Amino acid sequence: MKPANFARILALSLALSGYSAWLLTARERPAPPAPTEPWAVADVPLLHADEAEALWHQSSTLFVDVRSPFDYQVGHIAGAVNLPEEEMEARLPSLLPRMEQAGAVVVYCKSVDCGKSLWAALRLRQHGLTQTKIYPGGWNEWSNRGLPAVRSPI
Amino acid sequence: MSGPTADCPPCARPFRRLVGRVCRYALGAFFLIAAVSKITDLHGFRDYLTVQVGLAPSPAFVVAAVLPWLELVCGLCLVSGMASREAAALTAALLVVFIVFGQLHHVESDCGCALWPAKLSPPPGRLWLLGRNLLLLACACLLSARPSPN
Repeated sequence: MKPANFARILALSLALSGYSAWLLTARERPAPPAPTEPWAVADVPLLHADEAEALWHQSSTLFVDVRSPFDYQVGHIAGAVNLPEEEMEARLPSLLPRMEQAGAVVVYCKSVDCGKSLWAALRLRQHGLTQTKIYPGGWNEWSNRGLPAVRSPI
Repeated sequence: MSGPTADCPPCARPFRRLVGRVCRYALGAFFLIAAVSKITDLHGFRDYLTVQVGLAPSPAFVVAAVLPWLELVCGLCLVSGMASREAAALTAALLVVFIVFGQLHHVESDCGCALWPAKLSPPPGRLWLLGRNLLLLACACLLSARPSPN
């Protein structure tokens, strides 16, 4: 192997990465499309299942599961982080940097009958996370539709 | 003249050359696809690093700026046969980083197929990703250890 070839590969990569750096700093992130029929409670947008799925496919979206750690371990939306409503104040500081970077924070719990997602969403908005939304259908609807999920092998 | 090629039985040399070429093209194609999928959506890749992986903004910016092009250049070198041993060594180093990081921070919504931002449903398991990366690492090590590229 020749050190000169290593240097050439790395130098070329770094030179091209200057274009990426310019692109990432100079160009604005494209704004997400506005919902056609706003559906909200207490100014927190609510999502239908297809809207939640569309947001799931965006890398800037973070799903937050406010159910208990046991329920989360049994099964949760793929990529979702667990933030039990009862432990929010303790766990939120470690998750806040990721949430602040997110384009959308989607909070969900078990189903439409569960009110935890609303309380959690309101508290997240109080922390300045105005991009918080609620997925009322929750884990039950997501799972029944066969959407991407992680389940415990047990 | 001594060396791995000279000591190899004549009947095995075409097989070794074939294995070498398959490894080179497979590894090169994988990294080319991975690179192009990231380059076409750099903002999304950076969002993936900050939101899904949990990297801090500054390291995520550096990784998002450098990694796609490093993958692209290594992929082109492997496919073209130019500086392929050096490119294979660099891809081996990248794969070691991916394997270690993947074991420490498994991202559930990652398709794992390097066709970012595509997402598979259901998401692949850790073992599948580990197996794939180990196989690619074996190809990269084989290529970097060969006496001359074919």
